Amino acid sequence: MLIHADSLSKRYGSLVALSDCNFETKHGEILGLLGPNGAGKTTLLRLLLGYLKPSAGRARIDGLDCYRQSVAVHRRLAYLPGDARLFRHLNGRQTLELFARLRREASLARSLKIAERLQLDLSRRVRQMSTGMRQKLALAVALTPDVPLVILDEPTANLDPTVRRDVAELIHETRSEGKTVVFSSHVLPEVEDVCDRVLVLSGGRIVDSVRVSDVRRQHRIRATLTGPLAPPPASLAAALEITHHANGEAVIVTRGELTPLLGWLAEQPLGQLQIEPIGLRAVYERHHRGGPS
Amino acid sequence: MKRVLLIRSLRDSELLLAGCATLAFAFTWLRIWVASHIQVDAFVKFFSESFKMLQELLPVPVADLASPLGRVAFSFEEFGLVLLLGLWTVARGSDCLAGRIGAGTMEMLLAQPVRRFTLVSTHTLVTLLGVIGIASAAWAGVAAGLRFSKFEPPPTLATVTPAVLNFISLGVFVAGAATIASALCRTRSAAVGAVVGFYIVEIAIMVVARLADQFGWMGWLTIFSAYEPTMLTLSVQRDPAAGWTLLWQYNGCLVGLGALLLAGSAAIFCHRDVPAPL
Repeated sequence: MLIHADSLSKRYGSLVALSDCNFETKHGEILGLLGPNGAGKTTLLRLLLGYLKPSAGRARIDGLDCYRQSVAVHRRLAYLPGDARLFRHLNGRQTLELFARLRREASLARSLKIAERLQLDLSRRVRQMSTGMRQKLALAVALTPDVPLVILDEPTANLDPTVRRDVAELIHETRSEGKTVVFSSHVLPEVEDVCDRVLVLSGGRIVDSVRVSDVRRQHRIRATLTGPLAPPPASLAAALEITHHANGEAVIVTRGELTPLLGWLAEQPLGQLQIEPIGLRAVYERHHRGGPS
Repeated sequence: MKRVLLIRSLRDSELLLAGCATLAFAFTWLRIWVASHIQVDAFVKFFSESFKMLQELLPVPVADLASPLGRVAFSFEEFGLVLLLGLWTVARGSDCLAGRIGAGTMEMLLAQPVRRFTLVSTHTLVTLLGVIGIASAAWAGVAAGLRFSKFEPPPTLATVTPAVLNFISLGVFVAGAATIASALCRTRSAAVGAVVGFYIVEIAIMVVARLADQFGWMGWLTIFSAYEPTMLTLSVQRDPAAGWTLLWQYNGCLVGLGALLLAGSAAIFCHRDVPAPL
């Protein structure tokens, strides 16, 4: 396991920012953190980075304690803050040079390659850059080091859709190099596209952990009943959740593959049939009222 | 220690340092040149007879202050020069932690495999080098001032050494005070406010302690009791053995407290939570 969080908690006086957080990540996994503002995503990331001292529990990366051995931990990770701020008087190239010199694992050539891909104007000073350009520059800094773990806190905030797509590609490439990515975002489709697994946070707790591939297999089937439903075959029943509404509508939620169910569905007295993938939104809304974007 | 951080820290503040050093040089040069042109005998007599109470505020008797060496050494007690030193040390010290945390650059630096102590020590080293730089510029200004002065004979440059050393020691202390405020405060403005407030209170205590005998004990509460460049310079001139002993005591007090504050800042920062930038 690359990351191991064991009862990780952070309190500020009576305020509980993160409570009893347990999770693990494997090498080469893209883990998403999903939750509204104040859910504890950034606190969790800052605990992994050793910026905060845990009130209870511990986090380990590659077997190293994130708080006590933070320098050794930082040799194994790269980080992009949600609101990345760089030295305002440096230009883009000087910024990449500075961070490339600060660690052995980084290379200026790779930084420049990423910057070129993100269409960055490196001659411009940071203070003259737009928020989006600064974010791209910080992303070039974060994705440069050759380290097993990359932590990205809302990396696509302030970016336009084209660059968001590029960032998603870069994250996939990072994973294909065998690296683990921890990715925090508010944007559900983005998390769904990029991540292998998602931790849903609410009120400082991890309230759900879902595999995106499992979520993609789940569907919601809405239909108007024109007669009584026959009981589903025993092999499918366990993976189905059927709700009858007073208006004669039935909602069937599948937890597994849709294909074996299609034969049974075709024999049922259903009209106005609608089949839709559930997606992360449903998971999110299960824990939070009203969804994000 | 990371050389790249040291160079970055130096480049970050090269303009401020160049400005402070140039002003320190120009200030002392001009002040000494002007002081050498003033006929002080009548002024000393007038001041001695008319403003006896105000004499308590002076670091040395008026007659000593009016001597060429007294007038040269007193440059290091002038508000302008002390303000320049304060500007440099407070700007740098307050930026060390609270400034960089607030600006968000600490967030990116801390994500690199760099010890927190290294981040503090490189910044502090540049601050202290800057203090020496400003003091050297002031010393060079003294040299230039003496070169063109009308003092007959002019004091030698070496005789001003105690004042320069005391000036550097004050810089070490203020750098320590500003850095610990930076380690304790969340924002840079709060750190600057804390240090400036401390500075003002210390000056007020010094004035009260000097003006009224019954409050003389308050002199122990102000760091400015250990900043006496004129008195120390004249003491060394009169009795080198006793003067140097006194100088090391005063400087030891300032440098020792400054070093303690700097060590405290590093200890606090190495163990404190680093909040997200505002």
